[in-house]
Order: sequence, then C-alpha cells, then structure tokens
Amino acid sequence: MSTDLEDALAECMRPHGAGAVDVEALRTGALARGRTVRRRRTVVGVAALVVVAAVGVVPVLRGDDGEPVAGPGNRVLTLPPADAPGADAAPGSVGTDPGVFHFDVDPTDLDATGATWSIGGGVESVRLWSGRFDHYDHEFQLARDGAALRAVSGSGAAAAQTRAVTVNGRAATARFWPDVTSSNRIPDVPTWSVDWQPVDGLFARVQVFTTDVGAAVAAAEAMLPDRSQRCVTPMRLVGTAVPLRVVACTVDFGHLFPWTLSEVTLERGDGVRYTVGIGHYSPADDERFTPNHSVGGLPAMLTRHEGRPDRPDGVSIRVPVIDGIVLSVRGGYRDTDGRREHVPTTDADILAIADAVRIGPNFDRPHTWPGVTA
Amino acid sequence: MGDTFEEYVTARGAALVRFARVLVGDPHRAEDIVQDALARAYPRWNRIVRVDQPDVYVRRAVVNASRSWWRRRGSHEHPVQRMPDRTAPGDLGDEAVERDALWRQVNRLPHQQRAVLVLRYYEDLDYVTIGRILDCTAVTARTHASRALTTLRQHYGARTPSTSGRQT
Repeated sequence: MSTDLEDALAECMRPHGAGAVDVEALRTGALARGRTVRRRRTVVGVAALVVVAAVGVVPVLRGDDGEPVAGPGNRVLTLPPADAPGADAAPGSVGTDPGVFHFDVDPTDLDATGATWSIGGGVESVRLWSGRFDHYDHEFQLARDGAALRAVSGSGAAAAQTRAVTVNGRAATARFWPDVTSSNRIPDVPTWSVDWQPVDGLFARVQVFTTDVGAAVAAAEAMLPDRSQRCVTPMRLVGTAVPLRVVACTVDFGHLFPWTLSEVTLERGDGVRYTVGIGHYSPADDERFTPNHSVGGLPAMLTRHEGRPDRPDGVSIRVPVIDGIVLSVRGGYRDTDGRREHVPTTDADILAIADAVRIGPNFDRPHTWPGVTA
Repeated sequence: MGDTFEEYVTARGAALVRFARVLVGDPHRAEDIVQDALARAYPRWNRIVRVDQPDVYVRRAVVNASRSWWRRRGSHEHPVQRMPDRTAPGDLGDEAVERDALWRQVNRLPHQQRAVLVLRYYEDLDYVTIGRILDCTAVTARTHASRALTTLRQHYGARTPSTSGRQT
C-alpha cells in the first residue's frame, strides 16, 4: 500500500530519468573503455608482479587460499590477525607499534559497511560507517594516555548530559551532545560518547551518533581488547636513501570500494614526515592529471603546494598504478601538537621515496599484504 | 536478454542511464558513470554473468560511482530548508513547484537513503534486491527508506492513501 508521499516521490523522480538515450554510443564507448581497462590491468598487473618478484620483498601469492577477498557483495573486510597479545594481556604495548592494533571490533554487530583503522600518536582507533550518514557512526579509541584521545568530533562545547554507566562491569562515564556538527558539515547530529578503562592503565572512548545511551554502551561493549591485528598495506619501501621509520598507519575498508586505501606516515631522524599511501583517492581532491615525471616506468604528476594553507604537506606526487588505484607521496612536514607545518622539500626528496615503493599485486587480499614495521 | 556484454548493453543500457540520471541528477554525468561502470565490468563479464546478476552488479557500480559525485555536488548546493505550503490539487503549476521542492528534499538526503528511494520508487525494486545492490540486508534497506520517508514527511506532511492529493 503506497502513501501519498510515496506516490509523489515516484512522480517527482520520473521526469529526471526521462529523455532519449543513445544506446549505440553507450555500447561503443563502454566497449572501448572496457578494452582499455582490460589491457591496462594485464600490462600493469604483469609489471607489478615482475617488479615484486624481482625485488623479492613481497611474496607472490596465488590461488584461492581461503583468506578474505575484497569483492562485490562481501561484508566490510577485516585486518589480518597479529602474532601479539591483545590490550588486556599487554596494556603497555598499546599505541607503541604502528603495525599492531591491540583490539578489535566486530563491524557486523554494528551494521558497518566501512571501517577506517588508524594508529598514530599513541592512539589506536577505528571509525565504522554504516551509510546512515555520509560520516562515520562509531569511533573507537584506545590509548595508554587518556589525554591523547581525540575529543568528540565537532562538539566544541560542554556536554548537555553526563551519566555514570558501566561497560562490561567497569565504571564508565557517558556524555551527550544533542547537536554535534560533524566534520562533514552534517548539522545537529546527536552524539553519545562513553569513556572507560577496559584494562587498568588503558583509556578507551567510543563515540556514537545516537540519542540512545544504551546503544552507546552496547557499542563500547563490542570493543574486544583480547585480540590483536596487523596494520597492512599492499606496498613496502625498499632502500630509501635516508632512514625512515613508520610512525602512523591507516587502512580504510568499505565506503566506495571493498578496500579504499592504506597509508603510512614516515619520519626522518630530524622529525620531518612524509605520508605514503596507495588506494582509491577521491577524484574530488584531484587536480587534472598532467604527468611531469616518471616513477617505476609509470607516468607521475609532482605538484608543489607551497603557499597553500590547505596543503601543509608541501609537495605531492601521484602515480596512477592500475584501475583507479593511485600511489601518493606527500611531504615534508612537521607535526606539532596535531598541526602540520610545512618543511621545505625538494622534488628529489619526494621522488626518492616514491621510487622506493614496491607495490604488491593482490589489492583485493589484505591478509596477504606485508605488515607495517617501525 | 543475451549473455554477451554487447547484448546486455543493448537491452539494458537505456534503463541504466535513466536510473543513473535520477540518482545523480545530472544527465551527462549519468551517462559517463554508466559507461564507466560497464567498462569496468567488461573484463570480468563472464564471471559476473556466472556468479552475479549483471543488473545487480552494474547498478551497484553505478550507485558507488555516484556517491563521490553526489557528495561533491552537495557541498556546493544550498537546498531550501522547507517546502512551500501545499496547494490545492489540480493546479498544474503548483504541482510542478511542489514536485520540484520534493525533489530538492530528496537531494538533501544522505546518499544511501537517496539511493534506496531511487531504487524503490523509480526502479520499483523490492528490498531484497535493493539490499543486494547496496550490499546490505533487506531490513537495513527498509530502514534507510523509512528514515528517508520520515525526514521527507517532516516537510511534506504525513498523509495516508485515503487523503491522496491526486484524488478528484
């Protein structure tokens, strides 16, 4: 049974789909582009395999090994387990290794279709997306220093309500903001956050877009501090001219693609940082791709951003690798109290890092990717 | 509908473009999104036909591709906050104004809710199929629709079939 509103919806949509369609042009264009995609996939896929096999840094895995594989219809992908104790058994390890998360959250319990895992600054976190907002619904954070936890996104004011609750039997504090404006400019999102210590010496915070404090507590109880996982990327750096250590790692699953991107932050001995990422970078952030360099035989675009306050990373290079996947290197900058300050960087600095990246072929199998090590 | 890629595009291409036009709200971009979705499907077409329904696969690709476009567009537009007061049925000019206002409200919805509404009320699909396209359960798809309708009703006013404005 339809309502007047439902009838009106169908009516208001109909004219926007109307009009002639040139099916022949669509068919010809799709075939031409499809053949290009197939050719690029074959050529670059073979090239990636040759590079990886020659350098020998990433094992070339083949066959169906039963590991989670990204693909249409699959649920949000998971990280591979780490050979390390969880936060409950090793609380002192939390936030110390950019390659290991010391907790897990089952995204299916929270109806998540996307997950952004991050380690950096002593905080391990995951943001879960369900698609209800164009923004994450849940954010879990875990750290040894409670002051390192990020404040509730966009709150900017004292909580309207504070309640004492319990999370898995441990005392917790729930706080409510009725009208948080999210970082994606979605206004008036009601938010509960819950702060507790899942283990003595550790601080956890979960932020949930909900008006239901019970839902926030239930989410907090979905944190699993008895597990550990690896932060992984389908790339590795080999033989950089200057020693670099990994200080942060991010893996983004879901949203537009089963795997969206992986990024690591590298730091030189003098504190200058670079971000190296690979994945489906948003076309919204794209400048028109005009190759002006070459990296590993592939066309690359190096851009200098000096003088742009919105781009404190200074210099960036983008290398389209295959099928919409882009290698990105940005830097250098210093991170001071969470603020990035640009550090003068030469083209050669950025190119040297990009040239040192070795890309693995199995973009759809995170459980086959190498782990990140500091 | 045949199993070859060319036969599929010939049979379903027009419908896919119309669906994308409603989803994206930009006819030129819609054709580009559909062409790109089909191009990406082309190298794996045999597998898609074998293990997936091509319509589900391609619509899913179109929805995913439309998301970034829609979000970019949404950041530049400032849709009306409320719909104009509803007018008496039968006035074609007022009905067109009302339809446009409802369309703008649909554009304000989060992408997933908007996608569900287009699949449900333009494509006339059931929630099981919508769930397969959006990679969620039928219950979740229905929940998206329910939330979207609740939002729209705040502007449109709750109505029942017996009070349809199109009755004479």
